Amino acid sequence: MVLDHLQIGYAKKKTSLKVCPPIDHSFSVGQINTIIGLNGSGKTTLIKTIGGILPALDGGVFIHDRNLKTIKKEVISKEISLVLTAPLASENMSVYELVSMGRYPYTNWLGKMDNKNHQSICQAIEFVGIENHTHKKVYELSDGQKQKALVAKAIAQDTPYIILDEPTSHLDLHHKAQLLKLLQRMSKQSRKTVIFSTHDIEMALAYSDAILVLDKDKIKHGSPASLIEAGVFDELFPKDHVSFNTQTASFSFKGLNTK
Amino acid sequence: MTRSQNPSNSKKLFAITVLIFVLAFIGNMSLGSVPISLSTTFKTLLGLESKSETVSYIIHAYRLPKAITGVCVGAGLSLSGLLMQTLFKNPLAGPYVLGISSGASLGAALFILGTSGLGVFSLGVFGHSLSTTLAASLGSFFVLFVVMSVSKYVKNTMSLLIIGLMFGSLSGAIVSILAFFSTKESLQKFIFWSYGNLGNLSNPELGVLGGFVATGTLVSLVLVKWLNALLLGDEYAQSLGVPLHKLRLLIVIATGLMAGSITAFAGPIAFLGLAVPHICRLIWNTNNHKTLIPASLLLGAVFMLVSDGIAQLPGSAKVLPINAVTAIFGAPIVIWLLMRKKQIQL
Repeated sequence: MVLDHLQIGYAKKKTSLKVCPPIDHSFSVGQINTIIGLNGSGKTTLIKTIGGILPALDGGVFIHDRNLKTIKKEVISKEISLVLTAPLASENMSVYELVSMGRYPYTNWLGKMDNKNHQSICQAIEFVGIENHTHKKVYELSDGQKQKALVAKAIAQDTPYIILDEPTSHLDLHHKAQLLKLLQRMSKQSRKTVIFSTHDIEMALAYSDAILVLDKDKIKHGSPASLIEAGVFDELFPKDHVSFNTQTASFSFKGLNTK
Repeated sequence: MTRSQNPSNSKKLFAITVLIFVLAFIGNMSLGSVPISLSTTFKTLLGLESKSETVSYIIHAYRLPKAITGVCVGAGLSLSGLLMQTLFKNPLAGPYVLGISSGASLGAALFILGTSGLGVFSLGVFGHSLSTTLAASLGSFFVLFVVMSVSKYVKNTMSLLIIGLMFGSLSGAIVSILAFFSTKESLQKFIFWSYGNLGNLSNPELGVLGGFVATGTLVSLVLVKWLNALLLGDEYAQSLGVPLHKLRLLIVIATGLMAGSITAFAGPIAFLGLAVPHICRLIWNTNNHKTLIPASLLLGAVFMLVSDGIAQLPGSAKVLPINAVTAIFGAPIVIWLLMRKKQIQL
């Protein structure tokens, strides 16, 4: 997936609200790509734009050398699957039903599921490890289980690209690590390109192959090590509250418990 | 791993509902100012027995068309309600949120109240009922047309909902003004129209109503997969390949055809369209439209037939307004179901 001078933002009648500077970038295939940045830096906007549900203001998103905006939604649904932060409009469905929607692009108008579809659904549920909850309603699940069910839906959709918007934001440390390991396993096993946004920079440094940093004035990208070396994280936050330790690749708070 | 928890249970429920539907259909026809026994009704319908010309005439000329109207009205309104609840992801949405019923009321009010106020009106009873229907249809389709043109420019569904509500208030206000300046007689006529009535349809009119409801049903069945995807939210639906704008337009058209024609022919019948989809969700314990669409159609028809049966006040010559009966009879059922199941989920 290649972003060619991509300008993200929201179009209004005469003016348009540009969220960050134009982005030139290509996501590495079969690897974990993370998008990081401060609140309001445009992570979600970028996720929605490369996911094909928000039009680009300028430039374009290219998959297989084709601009995303020229591809039909039905075709995109076989290339890109999404896990978003917005709550589901209805949670009154079983985990099986939720995951089975991932197969919709491959079924007829009635959404009829044959055995092959059924197998993909079961495999996806087993892969994320919630097979004991297959027939539970989504509203009965914990946040972590819900997130896994949504990831299972994306896996069932069987697309080369899986894009997730802050998949770890409601999870505790243990479940964060578990989910990221799961994404890692998925990208390694089936050569899927995983792109996700996160606030959790330390986690991103530990688990991703490539990082895209959204900043107000500049877009930077590279491997975790190269970005640390370039000192990107020292400047990311205003210096008065947080500082970055290059050795441990972690942040520490200033002014807390220190004299 | 199995596909669903118990499909046989759902089939059993459907079998029971179909049985109740058949009973309600025949029972509805046996009730009225002249009581006819269930077995006579059944036999007369099948043409097995013609005890008397009168019975046969009552059933074929009056009660059968009325029962079929009841089925169309109940089924169509419930399905419209289901579509609106899914489109707006709002459990309080009903068939009339797009302002269709207010449009019809406005049309009928302009005709009944407006013309009488000016002293122009001088048609017979038959001509009057037919032209009221026409005026109501024009009113509902006018509002539908406006809402649809607006929906092209409005990006999110919540704005569409509010625009529909605004149209409702607007036409409600105009109706009040008309009512204020109109004569006692015409006001009474308008109020009678607003009570709802299943019994006034001629055969061609019934054909038109049936055609619209069938078209709406067909459109919803074709959309069943995308309606399910919509339950995840607009953005997820798009990521699953749903052409969102096309889907929204089709849902609005299907609802408009059904709710518009029903209101025009049978008056603004309240409650049913909002409540029946919820009752189906609670009974079948699912949100899958493959189950909910046939369930709403069936249960809506049953509700309308039973309400109409009660409205006949069996054993008396009086008839209650159908609009009052649907709510008096239906609201306690919804409350009872909610208390039993403890929660309601869209």
